This record gives sequence, structure tokens and C-alpha cells, in this order.
Amino acid sequence: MSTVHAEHSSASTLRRMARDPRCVAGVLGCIVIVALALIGPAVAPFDPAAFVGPAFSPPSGGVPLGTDHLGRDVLTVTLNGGTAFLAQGIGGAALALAAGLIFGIAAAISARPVRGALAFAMDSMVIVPQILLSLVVIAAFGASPTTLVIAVGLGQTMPTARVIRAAALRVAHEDYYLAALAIGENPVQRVFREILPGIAPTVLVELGVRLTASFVAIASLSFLGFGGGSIEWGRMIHDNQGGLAIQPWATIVPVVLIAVFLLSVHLVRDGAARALAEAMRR
Amino acid sequence: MTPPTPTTTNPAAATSAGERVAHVAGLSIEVARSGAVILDGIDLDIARGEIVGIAGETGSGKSTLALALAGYHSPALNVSGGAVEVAGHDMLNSDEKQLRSLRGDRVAYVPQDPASALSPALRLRDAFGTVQRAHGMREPAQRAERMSQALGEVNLPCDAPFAARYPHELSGGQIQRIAIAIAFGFNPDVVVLDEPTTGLDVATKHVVVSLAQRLSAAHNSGVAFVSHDLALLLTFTHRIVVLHDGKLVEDLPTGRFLTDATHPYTRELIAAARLEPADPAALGSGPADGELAVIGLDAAYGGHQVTHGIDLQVRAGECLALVGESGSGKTTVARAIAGLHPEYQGQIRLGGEVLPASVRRRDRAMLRHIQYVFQNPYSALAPRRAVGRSIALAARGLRGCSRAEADAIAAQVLERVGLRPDHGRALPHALSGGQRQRAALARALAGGPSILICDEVTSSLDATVQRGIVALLADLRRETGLTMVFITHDLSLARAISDTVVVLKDGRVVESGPTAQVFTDPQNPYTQLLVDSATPLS
Amino acid sequence: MGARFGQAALWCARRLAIMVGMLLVVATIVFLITQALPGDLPRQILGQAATDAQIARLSEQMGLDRPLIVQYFEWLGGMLRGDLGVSLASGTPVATLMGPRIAATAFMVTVAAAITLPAAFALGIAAARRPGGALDHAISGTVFVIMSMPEFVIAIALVAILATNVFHVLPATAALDPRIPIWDQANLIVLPLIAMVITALPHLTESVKATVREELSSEHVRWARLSGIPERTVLTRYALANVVPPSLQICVQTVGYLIGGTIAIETVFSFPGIGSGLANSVMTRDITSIQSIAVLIAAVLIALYAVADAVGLVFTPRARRPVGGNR
Repeated sequence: MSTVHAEHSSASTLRRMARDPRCVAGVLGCIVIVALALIGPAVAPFDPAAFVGPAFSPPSGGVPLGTDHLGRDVLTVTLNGGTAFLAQGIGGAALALAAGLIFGIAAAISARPVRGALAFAMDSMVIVPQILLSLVVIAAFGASPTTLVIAVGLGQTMPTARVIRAAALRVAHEDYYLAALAIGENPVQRVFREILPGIAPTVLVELGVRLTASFVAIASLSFLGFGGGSIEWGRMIHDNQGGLAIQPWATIVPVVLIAVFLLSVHLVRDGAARALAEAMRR
Repeated sequence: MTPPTPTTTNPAAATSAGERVAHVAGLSIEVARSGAVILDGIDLDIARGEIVGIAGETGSGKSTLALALAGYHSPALNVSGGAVEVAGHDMLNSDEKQLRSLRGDRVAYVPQDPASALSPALRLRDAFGTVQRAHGMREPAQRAERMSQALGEVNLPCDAPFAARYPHELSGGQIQRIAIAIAFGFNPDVVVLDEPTTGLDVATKHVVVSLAQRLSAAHNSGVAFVSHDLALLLTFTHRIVVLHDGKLVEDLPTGRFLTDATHPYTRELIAAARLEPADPAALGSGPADGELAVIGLDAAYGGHQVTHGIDLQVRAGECLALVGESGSGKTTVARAIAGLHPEYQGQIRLGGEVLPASVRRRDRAMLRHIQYVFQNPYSALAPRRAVGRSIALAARGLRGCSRAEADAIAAQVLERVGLRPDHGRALPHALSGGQRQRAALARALAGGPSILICDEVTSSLDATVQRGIVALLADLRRETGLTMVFITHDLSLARAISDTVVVLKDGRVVESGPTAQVFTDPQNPYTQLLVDSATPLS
Repeated sequence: MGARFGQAALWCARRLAIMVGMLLVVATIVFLITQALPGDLPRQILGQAATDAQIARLSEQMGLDRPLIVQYFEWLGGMLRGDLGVSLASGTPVATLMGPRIAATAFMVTVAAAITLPAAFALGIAAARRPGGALDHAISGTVFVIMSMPEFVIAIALVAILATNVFHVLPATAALDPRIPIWDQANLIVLPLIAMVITALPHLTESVKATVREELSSEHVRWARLSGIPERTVLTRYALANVVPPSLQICVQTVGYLIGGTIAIETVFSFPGIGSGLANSVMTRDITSIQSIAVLIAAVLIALYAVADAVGLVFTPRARRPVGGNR
């Protein structure tokens, strides 16, 4: 008889991801954009509020990407606009996942009437388009960076909760969960010892889904002008879209940055989900 | 059912007497990506009118061989050598068009799971019709006539309302008979039946077997009958081949199989199928008072009643076998006893004390007394926790002891069930099915229970592994005087381990009594049927 | 026949009750978010400079001085009578304000859905038939890129390529003239329609592809192939019949995406529809309009889901009898 060895599945997942060229490309894309957002404010040539020339003037020596609708340097504004975008996107995803975990697990293992009511509420609320729900929140609280995060987080809570609930229900129907009942584990022990480890892969995949969706939602809502006053890529597109024909850089640069970043996040998420599925299958 | 007289006494005679309809020579199949060998140089001939049983356990390659006879292999597999011929046609090198005309016509296939084999969206007549049209039957009248003929052959009605039914309006046995009717409908040279009896109840199993016999004779077709159930194959085939790890290790006429089989693996299979009755002297005889009593149990699923007035008495140290087929309510009874199925009326008493229905309301002492071992070892252990830790958690939860004490108990019970300390450090997926079931058993023992409920604990394991688990359970009883409720669909297993037997059918007790008595003198016709089907090797 | 009709009636009644329940949940949650959560809505709307009297007047006008439960039932009652309320921003009824916008968006969503749904099925089935083929890869790649993008990025890319900088073949805005029927201004709506279709296609295509692929590897398809049934029959009679019911739900989801997507797309093109109307209402904090429109959209989608369920039932013989035959 050979000795049994337990391979660390997280290590093998990472190794699989490192061998996947699409995933590696995604990681590189993410690193570039995040680095740009983080060190951008330090290396920007001008003050982000400074007026450097007439509005929508084309690129020239001093202003390599031209000026925006207020006559600010597009390069400077771009370099300053990433931090808020990234922070808000991560905040929205974290909020959605936290709320989704609480609702989802409650809807899977609480007493029958509560369980049924929560499931029905989730099934009803996912029908409302997420952006619509976010708009309701923004209208109620007023546009500000914080509201934006709450709006995006709440907009995605129900779909997250549904996914978590389905995964938690699967665990609750496994024999090992019944065995936990039979050895007298209390509800808190069952959540932390059985449910959470059991749904961990789902939560990881869902985190990826929520990050992408949250960045998309943040970009869309700030494009619509609901990001509050901050300097931010989505907002830049909103403000400069009118000058697309005369000074395209002011719109195209943030559009490309957002597109590259979202594509990269999606590539990483997809690669991670694939690697995780393969690691689980073994 | 009467066993047929084998037409031939040795394989060489079979090929010369009957015309050879299927010929497999040196067939090797491997996994395309990894090169792992699935079939390794298989030689097999099937003669016209001959029924060849293909026996083997999970992973032996028997299904791959069955599909290869129809010229099919999963896209993930690769034929690395050999030949397959059916009625003189090369099944491995024909193009799709040739294969299509051969399949269903010269070689027909009956799949394992009847419920998923027919498209849920097709009426019975359309399932027939699509196959008929594929083989050139253009006239609706001709199709209808042939269909009713084929349905008649398998004793099904052939009226229009029946033909208009969807699969969900038919029973599993009916669907399996329809698949057989379609298979024999074109007078094929070879019919491949891939585990056609798995999941069917005993009565239906017999119907399928006798249909295969009758139609094979009527249409003069060769039959490859794949099954993991050696005992069943022994009752009706002409010849049995045994597959083990992709190799054909035995090929003998059925009449000489038990006596002449020489390969060690075959001997092991035969031994596993022939479980000896329990030795009554070895069994503990506890006090006569009911240790565990089930009184008037009416259990329900979502308001739909599944058991009706079940009464059980289990004395301390006794092993009670609860026997029944799927849907008989035996698992529901077991779970109700363990508090895992609280939706019931009636009482469950432990030493005279009525237990709360739900496990959540039972106190630690009650939980300690009764532990449950699940059918499926693959889902019984938390997948992301070392099995030793699962066992230690159970010890802590049930005994309320310190972590160090729990670890010591875990090590002790692991050893008791025949596992090593490094098994305890492994995650469940690193263990084999049998090892997982031992680990699950160890967890159940960690609290030091007085009553162990074993729910079909061997049914998802191969016969040879089963035997080890059954021996372990018998040892445990002898040493610790453990009371046991043993749930099974397999009467010969019940005979091997239990003192008393209770037979359930459709949620009711149809027979109960001491094991020996139920076996030698069954009172109920249903028990008689079960007993008959359980004793082919004696 | 009578029994079957009775069953159908029972099913409809049950489904209707579920629909009403779902709508109540949505309405309640939307109401709670907009009315109960914020502290001092009138002050937020009027700004810090407003006098107490102004604020009191607005509170009264909004009905905020009455108990929450009364407000809730008045609003709900109005919604049930088809009264969408009065816009806080302009004082005109929401129905008057939003009516033409609702019609314009409904037209666009219908046309886009009529293009998207068949296209997604065609592409998904074609890709599923040859897994790993060129078409499969092309579709997965495109779908992947589009799925990563917000709607407005696609819309702006279309404007940049087709309406301004690269080619100038189509108008960059779709500011419809309300006096002329929408189909007489077809050149204006081409670009928004393309944007809608492109953004809605991927999800349904992927899901159709996955469902067809799963069906094609199912037991009964293998049995059909092993019975010599030609591949075309396998696809049409064995696989597709089982693909339709689960896909119907995704079709409605796609309509939901189309409606949600209009908010950004209509803003990019200045299209006078419900989406840009909603964006404007949020700007002006016009809570009544937003509430009513949100519930209206939810009602439409809930009704569509019910229709999808009913159609799915026709395609799923098994589901027609909940307690299966003589099993």
C-alpha cells in the first residue's frame, strides 16, 4: 500500500493559472492598470484641477493628450482618475459579497418559514435589472462616492445571495452536513465548520463575478454622472463625450483604460474559475 | 424462472457451432490525454444466439467494451490497437455513414439507465419512429405494424394511447422493455445490453433477463450482457467473461464457471458473491427488553406519507436488518431513528424513553447513543477537512472532551477500522471508496455509540470491498456488543450479518422474524421472491 | 379534456398568485429604499438654503408628514389603479411625463429582442455542434470581450467608429422628433439598436451553446446515435426539444438586460426613452417617477417570466403532470 498524501488544492490552482497564457495576460493587464492608478497621482505633470489651455484643444507639446471640457490636462486627469474607480469597484463587490453571504446562508439553513420568505424575496428581486435598483438607491441618498458603492453593492446583493444559497443548500443536503447534525454541532459551528468550507470554491468564483460586475456598474453609473464630484474615468467619459468629434482623446483614453482593465479582470476570473474547477475535479 | 440449458460447453465449440457474429481481437483502448489503459488486448467472440455475460467491477472497462461493440468510444478515449467486427463489418474503421446504417440495424445497444435513455420530449411512437425512419422504413403503416409487433414481443400494449405516452408516463421497467423492443426490432446480429438491470427492482430484473433470453433465441441474435452482478449472470448466460483492470481475466462457459475459474480475481468475486450466513453462536444476546423501539411510525415527505405504522424492536446487542427495495421507506425509517427525518407521527424510544423527533432537540447523551453511517462514502465526509479531524470533531462534540483527548480517540478508532495514521491526515478525496467508508464508520464510533445505524453502507462499493466492510462490522459487534440497524436491499447481505430481519415493501412491514427462519421459511410471497433472487450461488 | 382544462386553470391561478406576490416584494423593497431609509429627503432636494416653511410644504406635498404605512398603501393603491403618481420635479403626472418615452423604449426593446433572440439561438447552436471548431472559438472570443464591457463603452466605440472619427455613416445621436413616427426616423435608431443587440447577444448565445452541448452529450442522445439515427434528427428531435424550456427563462433575462442596458445606451445617443428619462429623474431626485418606473419594469419582466413558464410547459411534457403518470 502506498502512503496517501493530500495535495494542497490552492497551490495546484495557482500553478494551473500560471500555466494558462490568457490568465497570465489578464494578470499583467490588471497589474499595469492598478499601478497606473496608484502611482498616477504622483507622476502627473499638472495639478488635476489646473486650467492648462482652451477646452477640447488637441494634443500639443506640453499637453500630450490635449485638454478636456474644462481645459484641464487629459493626461493628468487620467492619471488621477483611477484610484477612485478601483476603490469603489472593490468596495461594491465586497459589500455585495458580504451581504450575499449573510442572506444566502440564512436562506439555506434558517427555520422553514424564514427560509422560504428569503428565497422568495431573492427570486423576486433578481428580476429587477441591477442598474435600476442602483438608481433607486442613488435617487434616495443623493449622488456621492459612498452612495455609489452602496448602490452598486445593494444592486448585486440578491444575485450573489441566490448563488450562495444554492451552494449552501447543496452542502446542507450532503451527508456530512447531516453527520454534523448527528454529532450535535450548533448552528454557528455548522456555518463555520461545514457550510463555509463547503461553499468556499463557489465564493471565490462569485468574488470574481462580483468584481467584474461591480467595476462595470461603477463605470456605468459614473458615466451617467452619479459618481459625485470626484475625478474618475467614467465621469471623464460622461463629461467629454460631447467633444468626441473634435478632441477624441479625452473620451477614448479613459474608455480604453476601462476596457483593458475589465477585460483583464475577466481573463483572470475566467482562468481562476477554470483552474479551480480542474483542481476540484481531481 | 428456469435457467436455460447452455447450448455449448466450451467457447471453441460455440464459435464453430453457431456462426460468429461479433469478433473482438486484441482491442486496446486508452485515455487520449494521459495514455491510461482502459482496455488491454481484449479478445472476445460472440456466436449467433449466444448470451455472453461480461462481468466486472467499476472501472474494469466493461462499459467501454460494450460501447466498442457498437463502434463507439467517448471522444476522450483512443483506440490504440486491435479490431472489432460485427457480422463481418469493421466497426473501428468504418466511416460515420456506414456506422450509422449498422447501428440499430446490425448491432443494437440498450443503455443502463432507462429513465435517461429516452428523450423526455419524445412520445413512445416517435422514439420508435425516428429509429425506424433512420433505417429506411418510409411507410407509416409498416412502421406502426412493426412497432406493435415489437411491443407485443416484450408484453407491452400496442394501442394508440400507449404509443402516445411520454417516458415520464411509463415505469422504469416499461422503458427498459421498450429499449429492448427497439433493440431487437431489426433482427440485429448483436445486441449489447449495458448494465440493463441496475436500479431495477427484483421482479423487473427477472423480466429483463427473461426477455433477453427469449428475444435472443427468437431473433437468433448474439447478446453481450454487461453486469456487475455475477450472481445474476450465472442464472441465464451461456458464457461469462470477467474483466479486471482492462484485462479479460476469465472466459468460461457458465456451467463450468464456479468450478473451473482459476484467476485469483475471479475466485475473489465468487467468494464475495457467496456470503456465508452469520454464525449465531458468535452473536451477542443482550437483555430481552427493547433497547430501541419504533412504534407506529408514519413518516412523510412534504406531506406525502411514505411509511405506514412501522413497528420495530431491537434488543441490546442485536443486529436487525431492514430489508427493502428503493422506495420501500427503509432509509426514511433509519433517518427517523437518527433524528434526521423529523417529519413523522409515532414514537421512537431509546431504553424506554421517547426521543424528540429532530436531532436538534436531542441532548448530547441521546446523540451519543445513536450514530448513523451513510450510504455514500463520497459525500459523508467534509471534502475540505482531513478525515482524522472530522473524527476528532465528532469525538469532541459527542463526548465534550478536550482537543487532545479527542485526537487520541480519533487515532484509536482509525486503527480500529483498519486505517493508518496517514489516512487520518489525508483529505477524503485521497482515499478509496472503501477507505472512506471505514473513515465514516470511525467517525460514527468516535462518540462510543451503543446503537449504530448502517444505511446501505456497502451498496456503492465493489463486491470485494463490500466483504471487508461486512467483516469489520461483524468484528465490531463481537467485540463491543454494539446494537445495529442494518439497512440493505440485498437479502444475502442481511443473511450474512443480522440476527433478525424485517422486510419492508411500500412503507409497510411485510415480514419479520429471526434471520434463519425468514430465509428458510418465508411467509410472504414478496419475501419469497427476494429470497429466491438472493441465493443463486448456494 | 375537462380535467386537463381544470389543471391549466389551477396552474394559471397559482402562477398569478406568485406574480402578484413577487411584485409586492419588489414594490415594498423599492418603497422602503426610497422612502424609509433617507433621513431628510425634502432638505436634500431643496438644499441647505431652504426655509423650514418650504421644507414643510414639500413634505406635505410628498405626503411625508403622514405615517409611513399610510404612504405605502396610498402609493401601492395608486400603482394598482395604474396611477403612477405625480412627478416631484415638474408637478406633472408621471404617466404624462414618461408615456411617450415608455412607448419609444418599448419599440426599441421589441425590435432589439426580435433580432437578438433568433441570432443568439442560431449562433449558439452552430457553435455547439462543433465544439472546438473555428466558429466556436470565434464566438467564445467575441462573447468574452463583449461580456467584459459596460454598455456605454460599446456604444461610444460604435459612435467613434461609425459616426464620427473613422467612418461617418450614421448619426451620432438619436434625438427623435416626437411629432414624427419612430419608424420614419429609422436612420437615427440604427446605431442604438446595434449597440443594444451587441450587448445583449453574448449571454444568451453562451447559455444556448452550453445547453445544446450538454444535451448533445446526454444519455438519450448517445442512445439515439447508437441506434443509427442521423445527426440532423438527433439535433432537432432529440436535443433541441429539450433546449427550449430552460432557454426561455434566459430569453426573458435577456429582455431584462436590454431594458437595463437602455439606461446607458439611451444616454450615449440622447435617445428620448425611458432609460435616459430615468437617468434624468435621478439627477433631479424625482423619487415618484423612479419608484413607479422601477415597479412598472419589474411588472413587465415578471409577466414575461410567467409567459416563458407557460410556453416552457407546453414544451415539457413531464412538467404538465406534476405527479408523474403511473410511476
